Amino acid sequence: MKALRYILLRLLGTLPVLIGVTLFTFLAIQFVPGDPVRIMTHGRLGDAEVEAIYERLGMNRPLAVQYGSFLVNAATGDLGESIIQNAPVADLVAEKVTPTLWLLGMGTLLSVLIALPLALFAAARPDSAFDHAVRAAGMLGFAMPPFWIGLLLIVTFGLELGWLPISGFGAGWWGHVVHMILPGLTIAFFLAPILVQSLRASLLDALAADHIEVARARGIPEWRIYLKHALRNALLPTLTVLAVNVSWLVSGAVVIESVFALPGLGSLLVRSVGYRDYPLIQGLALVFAVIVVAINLVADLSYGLVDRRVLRKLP
Amino acid sequence: MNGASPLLEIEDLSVVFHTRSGPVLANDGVSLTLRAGETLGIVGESGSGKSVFCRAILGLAKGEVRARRMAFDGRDIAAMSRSEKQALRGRGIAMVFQSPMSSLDPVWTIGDQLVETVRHHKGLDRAGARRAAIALLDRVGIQSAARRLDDYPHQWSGGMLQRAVIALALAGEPRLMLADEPTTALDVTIQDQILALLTELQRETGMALVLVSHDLGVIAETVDRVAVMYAGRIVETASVRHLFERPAHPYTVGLLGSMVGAAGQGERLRPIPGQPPDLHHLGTGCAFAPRCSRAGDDCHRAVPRIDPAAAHDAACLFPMEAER
Repeated sequence: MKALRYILLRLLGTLPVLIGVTLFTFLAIQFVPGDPVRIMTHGRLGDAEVEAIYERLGMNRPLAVQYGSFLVNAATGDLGESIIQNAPVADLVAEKVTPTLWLLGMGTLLSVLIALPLALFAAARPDSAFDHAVRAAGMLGFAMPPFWIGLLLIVTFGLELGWLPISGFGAGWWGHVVHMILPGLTIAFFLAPILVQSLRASLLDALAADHIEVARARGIPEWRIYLKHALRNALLPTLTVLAVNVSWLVSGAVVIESVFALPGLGSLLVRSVGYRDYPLIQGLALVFAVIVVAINLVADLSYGLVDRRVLRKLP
Repeated sequence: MNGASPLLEIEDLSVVFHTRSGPVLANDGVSLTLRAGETLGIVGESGSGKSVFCRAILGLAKGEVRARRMAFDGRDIAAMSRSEKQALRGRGIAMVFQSPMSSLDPVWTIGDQLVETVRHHKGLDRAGARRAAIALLDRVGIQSAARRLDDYPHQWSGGMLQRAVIALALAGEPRLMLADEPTTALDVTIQDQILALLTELQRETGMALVLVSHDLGVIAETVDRVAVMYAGRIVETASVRHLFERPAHPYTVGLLGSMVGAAGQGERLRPIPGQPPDLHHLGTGCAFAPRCSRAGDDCHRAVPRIDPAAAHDAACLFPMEAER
């Protein structure tokens, strides 16, 4: 019950964030040089015709009125019409959001699955050969640019071995899973090393705590001390690191989307900015903000699962 | 040795920490015997090796541990396997630590940790372990234990937490309890309660108790026998009464003289002159010699060994009173 109230309160608290993000985007695009109508028509229209189009789109109203009507419409799920693509922004976004969410999900899942055992083994024997090998491999993966890793994976697993599809989103949920393995791995190549470093350091910190020695003194087996007491204490900082990085990936995965020809939000964003498609940019900014806020809400709720004191302390 | 073998026999225990600035001899030739049910105090300044000694017995010392003999209940600890040593912890020998605030895992409830410990030692099911956990908290004087079992450590005061830590130590029904400065982090009023609880539990269960403290006053009211440690060595062992009435080692005399209450009304306390020695650079001689007014040339060369079985003995060439 407390958790439910907590979620509701948190959702209420995200409203100012969403308004802030959209307001900032709205003002920012006004100051960017370039004009969508002239870009689209390659400058072949006269000033009067351009004015007429603006009049029809409602873009020559006062800024406050424009922003106000955007907010009112957004609240009802209407994000306006794309200038360039002649379709509702909401439909365009809805079509592209699924591949992006799959990519984020798969990338996060693979990163955690790879990072967790590596960090656990590395921190169990700090300064061992394994520990150093994990760190060196992590540096290598982290240092290579994602598009390069993506290409390497495509060449190796797609073209040479022929095991996995190399582009597109696939059909059906199993098709999506198979198609997301290589893009997800590309994300894992730089996200997993970050997680390993964070979790390894937190584990070593946690193992140095007094209560670990007390647990040893009361006879608790070492594996249990490690997995129950040290890991539980070490997970919180790593969760934060994970949430920050996945939030960044929401828009940062554009490169990966384009390497694997994924019809995601990233490519839509790049195109909309190129054409100064104001309504689409505005709508995408709102959707990105909603996704980031949702990721952080999930992270906050996970804190409560890992450290139940968080839930206990709720008002 | 009168008949029964002692509960704990330590002969010539040394613990060396290999640090960047060279080896540090934290314990040097410590010998000690303890009978079942006996209470022993170990007193000394901070850094004298008291805590290291306790951890070495439990197999938890970080440094290199060597001993001629280290036996618990007649079984050689040094020859034990890793899992045998682990089985000894909590069941044979339990330990209570200095800082109750950090002795419990903050992300698990006190009940979780008690149940975990009880299940490990007794193999009870969850419900049975929960009942046992409540009984343990009850026994260490926690009011309405059943209701407070699901509290987190940060919800309890230091004194209550130390009671919980003692309950954890009791869970395996140990035959020896090591208490390392158990009251140092607590308020003075709470200190007496915890000491009284330890004494009461020791009498009830008949377990042996080693109480480590820098405070001779704490030691005096709790235990029968005292070992005085200085710079990693035991310099004097005696019954509490003998130690206070006829201290033999000049360091013990200094320690007694610097106690509040030892000096008469209106008199100043008499601190021991000089500083505790640097454990990096200990010679073969008596570590206290540089601070000792009675020291002769021989003191800087060699130090007599203490007889762990003797009723009263001091590692001193020129003891205050002829004892033997």
